[in-house]
Amino acid sequence: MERGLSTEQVQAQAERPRPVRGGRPPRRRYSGRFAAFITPKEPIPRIGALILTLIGFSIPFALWALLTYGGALSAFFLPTPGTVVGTLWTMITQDSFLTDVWASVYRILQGFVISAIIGVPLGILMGSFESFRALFEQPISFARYLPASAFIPLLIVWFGLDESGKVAVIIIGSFFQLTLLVADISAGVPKELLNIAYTLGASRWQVFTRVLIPACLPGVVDTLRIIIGWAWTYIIVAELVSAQSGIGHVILQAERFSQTDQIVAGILAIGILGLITDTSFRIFHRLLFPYVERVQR
Amino acid sequence: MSDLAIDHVSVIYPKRGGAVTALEDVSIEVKNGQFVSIVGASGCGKSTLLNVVGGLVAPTSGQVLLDGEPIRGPGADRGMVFQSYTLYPWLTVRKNVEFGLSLRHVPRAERHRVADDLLAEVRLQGFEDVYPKALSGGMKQRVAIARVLANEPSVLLMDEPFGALDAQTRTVMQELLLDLWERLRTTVLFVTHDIDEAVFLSEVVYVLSNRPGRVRRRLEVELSRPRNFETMGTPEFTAYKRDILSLIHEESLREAGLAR
Repeated sequence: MERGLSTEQVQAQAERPRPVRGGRPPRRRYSGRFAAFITPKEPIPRIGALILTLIGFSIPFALWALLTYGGALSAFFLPTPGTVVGTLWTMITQDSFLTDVWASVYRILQGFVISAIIGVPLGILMGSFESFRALFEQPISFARYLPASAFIPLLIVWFGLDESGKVAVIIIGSFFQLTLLVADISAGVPKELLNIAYTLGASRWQVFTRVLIPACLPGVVDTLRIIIGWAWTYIIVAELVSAQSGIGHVILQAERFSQTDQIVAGILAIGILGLITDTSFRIFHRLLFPYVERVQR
Repeated sequence: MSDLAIDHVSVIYPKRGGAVTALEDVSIEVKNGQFVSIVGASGCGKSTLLNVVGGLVAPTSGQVLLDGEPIRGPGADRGMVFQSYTLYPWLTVRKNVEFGLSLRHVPRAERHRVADDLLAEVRLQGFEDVYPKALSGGMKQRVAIARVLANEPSVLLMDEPFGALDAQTRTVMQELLLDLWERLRTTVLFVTHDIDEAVFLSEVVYVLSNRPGRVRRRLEVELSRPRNFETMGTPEFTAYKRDILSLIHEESLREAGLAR
């Protein structure tokens, strides 16, 4: 028998590459149109997913509208969505709210960047070297449970009302968590990936830079996305206590003058900013790591 | 020339309350250009043995000699292919194949040429620029083989490289590997628990005993070449297979405490 030929034939059948992305999942033959929506782990049509997302978003707003426009709650207790959106617009156009937004964003960026610059390398080292893990794991695990907000009084004593106090809250709130999460990522890199590199002639340093670090990166960026979300909650707490600017400061001012609409507008703004941050990180992740196997949606 | 000699190698792992002997006084010889397999039931230490040759595990006693020189640690002269998929997901197929060369700063044009040649050898032209996630299991292992061959290793160490593949793909891969070996004549040390695979591929088969792993028998497989999947249907093939099977079966009985 002609050997090359038979190989090619079998190969053609056995080794056809699978579609990577964008391919439409095969239609379920034995069930109705909407069965996928109530079947576990079954992909649903894109348009269906979009509609459900919109519904998910509108439920809280609908509830809010119902309670306020319906008159169940007074405008002082909870202003209507219309009022809040109007207030937000006024705050942006007339009250320099964007300056306060930037003040908060800037503090977060400072704290977050400092945490990342130290935490990411330290985490990678802890996950890869038993020595680093033994040295740092327990103290960091301990520090992780200290609530960042409880440090605020202490930080006021240390830094006064200075900017560095607010940045320090972010660092305390994010650094320890970030380091431990990154350590887990680097510990999870399969040892065989490293062993293969050694048998291909890599030095220890090359294994570290050419295998371990690239293997960690997608997970690290994902972790940063989660951590920056927490940073948002800490900054507001820090600003509520002591600040001359920032979204937290605006909210506190509004409370002093009983302007519930401004409080809700501030909260809404934070939500929107959070969503923007999260989405940017996701897009960034996709662009940076096109090779990562993603769950098909 | 690259003769490989595993010389009275024992590996003992320390364990709480004693020690586990994984390998006991194993001596195996692989001549330059030979295809040698090691078979044994799971847990017989055959992967450990391959890791010793690869330099990833240090023997407790004994040594491994490559061309008379004792090996110390891993090196590019002994490339490995594992059962699990070990392609670097962040590198394209081409970059994966070029990985070993790029570690040694081989010029780009040269790397390119080597990768092109080897990807042609494993019949993956046209897949140079895709990421491993787009490949099937068999294709991934073909890239892994090309990656190792790019280094022109003295010995190719393979640890159940087709173990995770389905039966049809496995046969195709075995034929492809044999075809490659017959043309390149790289020395191969191949570990498997699949007796068919060992007989089909090898010139020499070593059967290891269970816990601790010792060489139970050395068999020369004198089936004519070139071999293809039809070889597996011949009476000679079946005879070799039966010999090895009965040895391994004895071992399994002993392991299970059922030996008579």
